[in-house]
Amino acid sequence: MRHVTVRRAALLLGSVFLVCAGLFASLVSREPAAAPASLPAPGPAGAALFQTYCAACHTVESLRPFVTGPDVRRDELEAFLADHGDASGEDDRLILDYLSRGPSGR
Amino acid sequence: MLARGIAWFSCYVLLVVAPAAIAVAVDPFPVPRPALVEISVALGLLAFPLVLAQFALVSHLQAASRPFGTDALVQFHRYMGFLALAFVIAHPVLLNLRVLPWSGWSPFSGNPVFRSGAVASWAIVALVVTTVLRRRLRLSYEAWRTVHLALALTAAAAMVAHVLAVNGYSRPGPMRVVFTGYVLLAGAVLMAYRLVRPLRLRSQPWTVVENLDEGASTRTLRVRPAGHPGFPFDPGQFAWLITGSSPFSSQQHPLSIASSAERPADGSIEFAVKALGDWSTGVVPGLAPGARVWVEGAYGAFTTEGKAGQGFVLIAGGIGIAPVRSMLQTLRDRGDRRHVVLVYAAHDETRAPFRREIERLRGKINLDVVYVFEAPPEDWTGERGFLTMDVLRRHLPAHFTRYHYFVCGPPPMMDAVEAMLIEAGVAPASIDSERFQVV
Repeated sequence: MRHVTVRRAALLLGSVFLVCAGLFASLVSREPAAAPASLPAPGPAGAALFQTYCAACHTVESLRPFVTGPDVRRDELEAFLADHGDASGEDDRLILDYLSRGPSGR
Repeated sequence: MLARGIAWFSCYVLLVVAPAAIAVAVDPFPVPRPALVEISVALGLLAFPLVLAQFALVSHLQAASRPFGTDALVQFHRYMGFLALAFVIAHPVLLNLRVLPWSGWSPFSGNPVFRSGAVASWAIVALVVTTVLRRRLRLSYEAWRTVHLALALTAAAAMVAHVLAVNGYSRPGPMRVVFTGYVLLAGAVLMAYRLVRPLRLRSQPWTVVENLDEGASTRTLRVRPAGHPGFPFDPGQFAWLITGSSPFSSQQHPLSIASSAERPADGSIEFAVKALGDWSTGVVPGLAPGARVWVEGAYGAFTTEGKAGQGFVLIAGGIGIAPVRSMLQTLRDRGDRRHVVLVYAAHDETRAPFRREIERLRGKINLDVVYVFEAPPEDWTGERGFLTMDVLRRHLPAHFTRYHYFVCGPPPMMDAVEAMLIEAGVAPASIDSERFQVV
């Protein structure tokens, strides 16, 4: 009857792992709260747009290599961003400018 | 044995959840992200060790085989493969719902994050499809093994590339250490199984001594260790028989050892091989005496060794008689007088190998034999038809709940017999069965 035990163990494990995934999300995530009106807006427009459109899933550090690498083509990035996320074309360009400036430009 | 099983199982669970647990501790994202994104990430963090651990589950680890049985490990590997597939699919789909464009599923994407993720996902889909549909796709077992390994390596390599390209939770130092450790561990297991093991086996060849046609499309293959002592085994266990030009050959098949665990002085053992596929019909009949093969064993938990019980009820269907033959011969050679009831089901007399040998054993051990033939001759006075509850009730011993049960045969027969035994009042823990029909 080991095969029945194995099937039950697999089902149990699947459930445990799903609970773990939920637990993980509850520990590390929160829906971004709207910024209070009293707080000053971020300085550069690109930084603010990054916070609005990108920071939910990405960090500046994780994206910068894709924007500043030697083989990077700006037109390809803009074409990609046109289908990715909710920002407009002009916003995409400002975000790319912001990411392209490197650590000193933050 | 139970404690060892629990220890191995706990290690497995810890191995799978550890990266996600450590990721919580080192969360590198200063801005909280939506729950949907984090659930997706969690599934990815769980899928990564799940996929790498798949290599270990089928790497012939004897220490893990003993408490669970190798067939159980292979079955678990199959289920965990389905789970990994579900996680690997759900991981990008949840992101598709939020931000990820559907074009991210293209393995030809210019973005390395999407490209590596897509390659990993499609490789795992292909792994599962080629396994589930192997027979429909007309893939031989050997070809399937090669395809399976190639796809598994592709998936694992693409997953590593994906983790590095995303550079999210894998960025903090502790996570780098964890991911590197997992990759090294999986690589070590793979090297031990695919390189060290065959090299070790190459220095321990075996020689075919006899290759007898037993009728009923069954051959008995007797092999002897050449220049080494072979290995001990328990009655009912199995070994991997490797044919071809070297132990690296893809012709590797698990076969029950069909001879006594009290081995003769030359260390030889016997396998019973039924002609069921390309290898057993094409290669095995051509293994002439003197041919070189390799044998790796012994594996499995389907054994009378260490089983408490007033006696044994052995229920065999077709070639499922092979491990039962080993059990009966071992009882004879050890002078064990415990009562044994053998229920042997086959289509007819001509498809029941070793029948004459079993008849001879009746006088040497405390054995009752019940044959159940689907299509016996007209003058047959024994049981006919399928193995049913009525047949079992007629032949189970008086104190049948004190016996241990071993069931080996075609999967539908084993399913039916196990259900009948439980219905009759046998404790599930007293029923052992072995299932190797995985692909």
